[in-house]
Amino acid sequence: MAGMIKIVKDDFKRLKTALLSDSSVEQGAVLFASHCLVNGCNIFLVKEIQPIPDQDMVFKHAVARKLKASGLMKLTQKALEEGLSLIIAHSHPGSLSTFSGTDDQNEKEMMPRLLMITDNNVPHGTLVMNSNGRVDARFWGPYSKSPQPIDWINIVGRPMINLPTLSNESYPERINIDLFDRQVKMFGSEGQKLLSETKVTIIGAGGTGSVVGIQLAYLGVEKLFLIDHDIVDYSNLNRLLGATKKDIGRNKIDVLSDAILNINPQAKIEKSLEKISEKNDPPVHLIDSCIIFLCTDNMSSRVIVNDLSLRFLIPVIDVGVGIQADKGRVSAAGGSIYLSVPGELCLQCLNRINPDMLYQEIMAAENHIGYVLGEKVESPAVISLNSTVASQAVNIFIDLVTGCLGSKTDQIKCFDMIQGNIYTPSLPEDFDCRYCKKLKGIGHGYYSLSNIGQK
Amino acid sequence: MGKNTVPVFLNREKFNVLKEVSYLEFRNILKMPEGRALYLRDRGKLLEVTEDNFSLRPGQHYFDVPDWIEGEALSLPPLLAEDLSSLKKDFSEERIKIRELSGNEWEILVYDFPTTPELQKIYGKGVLKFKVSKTYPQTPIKGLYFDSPKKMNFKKSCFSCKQWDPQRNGLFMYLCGVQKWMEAK
Repeated sequence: MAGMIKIVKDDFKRLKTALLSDSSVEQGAVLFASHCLVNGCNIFLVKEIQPIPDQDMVFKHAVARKLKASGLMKLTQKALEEGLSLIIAHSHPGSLSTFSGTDDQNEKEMMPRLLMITDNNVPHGTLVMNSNGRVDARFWGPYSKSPQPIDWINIVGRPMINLPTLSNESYPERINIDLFDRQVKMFGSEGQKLLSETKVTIIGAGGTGSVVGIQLAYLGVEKLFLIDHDIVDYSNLNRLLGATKKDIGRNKIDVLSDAILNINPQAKIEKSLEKISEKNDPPVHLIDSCIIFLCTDNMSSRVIVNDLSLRFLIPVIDVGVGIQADKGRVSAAGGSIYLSVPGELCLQCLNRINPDMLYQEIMAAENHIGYVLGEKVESPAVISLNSTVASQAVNIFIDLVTGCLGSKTDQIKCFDMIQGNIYTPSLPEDFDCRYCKKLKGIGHGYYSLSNIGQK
Repeated sequence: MGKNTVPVFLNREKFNVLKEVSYLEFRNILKMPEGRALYLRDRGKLLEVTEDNFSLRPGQHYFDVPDWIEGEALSLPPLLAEDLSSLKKDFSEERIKIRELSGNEWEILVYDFPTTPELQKIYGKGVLKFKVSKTYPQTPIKGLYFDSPKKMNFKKSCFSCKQWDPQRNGLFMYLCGVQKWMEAK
């Protein structure tokens, strides 16, 4: 894959409105995007959409439009100042679905110039949308002198939509659906295809992470990235799916990876033993993921992953379980799943990040004494609870990717093990969130939110 | 380079220009085509340079910027556009793609072809490609190529179906003719 545009649902709606609101003339808009190159794929994270005002146009007709050099330079100035890529979009209200000869000729002359003016630091692109909303897109530079195709538009929302561009030759390729016949009856062959192509990162390959990983393997998810620095010990064997006594001392991600490959030998699994920390760059394999399962159940990882989710426009499904028990008497047991979608509500908006607990974790980590209230505590854990909560999380994932449940999944779901209830708490009312609203904190890419805050 | 000249850059190319030149002389020296705006990049700012604010200093970086032209100007011939539009209705939008090869020729791609279950058993669901020119339907359809997942590919430089009259029958009928030919093959 040469390129992908990631854009949140509301921005894509704005783009469609800007381009298709009047079918009698060609219309235009500009996307400002952060750029990252990951595993050979150029990812454009859309930060902002701007319609092109009429006063910046020389003319706009049914089959052509001309943007004044001064209008173009205004846009270029913004891109230059913020280190962003410009993606200049226009509509083709007539029959032509893709770029025209006029577009080719114009870009051949203009794109090298635009790259030169912006110091060749980031690539710039163009996008064309036909009257049915189908899109073609491409980018120029900084490392190539000819246009490269953008194969996918990833619309981040509920459901997540992976829209192949018109120049994406691999679409619609077919997959062998016989193996998944029974589930294809539920979400269709297109849904199955989406599942197989969706890259999922699982952070934490323990009690809940292993259940999630194995269920994804059965579902036919083929691209996985597993992160966990921990090794299997004797006390994990009661709940770590796929692990046996022989695995004691092995890395949890290796054990999970083997279990997944036993179920689905087609799976392409990437692994990392590194801790995700705000001090290090995020692992590259995470950045091109479409969804993150966060199965670590501690506050500091939630803060970091929430930040990455917003920067790289990746939805997060946060899975947590907990049991309070004393000498065989359980006073509380249950779990919760939080779905955070960039452009909608982040983990901070959902009140998932508790500052007091975060402080305690940080203090405990500095004193090297574990993370639960400053005391090294081995929490109770049981596979039935982990599996119930992990299964709910995977249901949310299925809906997010295929939309087969109507994409009406609640963003918070809780399970009370004592009552046997799954319930939906009401969403917090105060969405004036520091991370994703006040700082307009989405799509910054490699620029961290803390840097943006200091500006 | 003399004392009376200053080095400046246009589109990153270095020029030595007389200090005292006017704005118009400067444009002429740099052979800037008419209608292009002149921009100076100064400490991260892009400033439009006109006769009024032109002031030459050593090491300045200038860029000439034309207007940005885009659009469907080379649109499809009316009959082809009409045929493709009804083909999209018959086959669904996703299954038909059009690629402009030049101002005079287009490639049409039909996905999930053939359409009958019997033929799909033999050929699988593949991609049929063919080329039509600006003079459609007077000139024949060329470059017929079928890419089959079951390795039953075929290629025909020029293919005309029996009983298909390009003047009267649209592309849908042409594809039906191709399927008939595949059945007989």
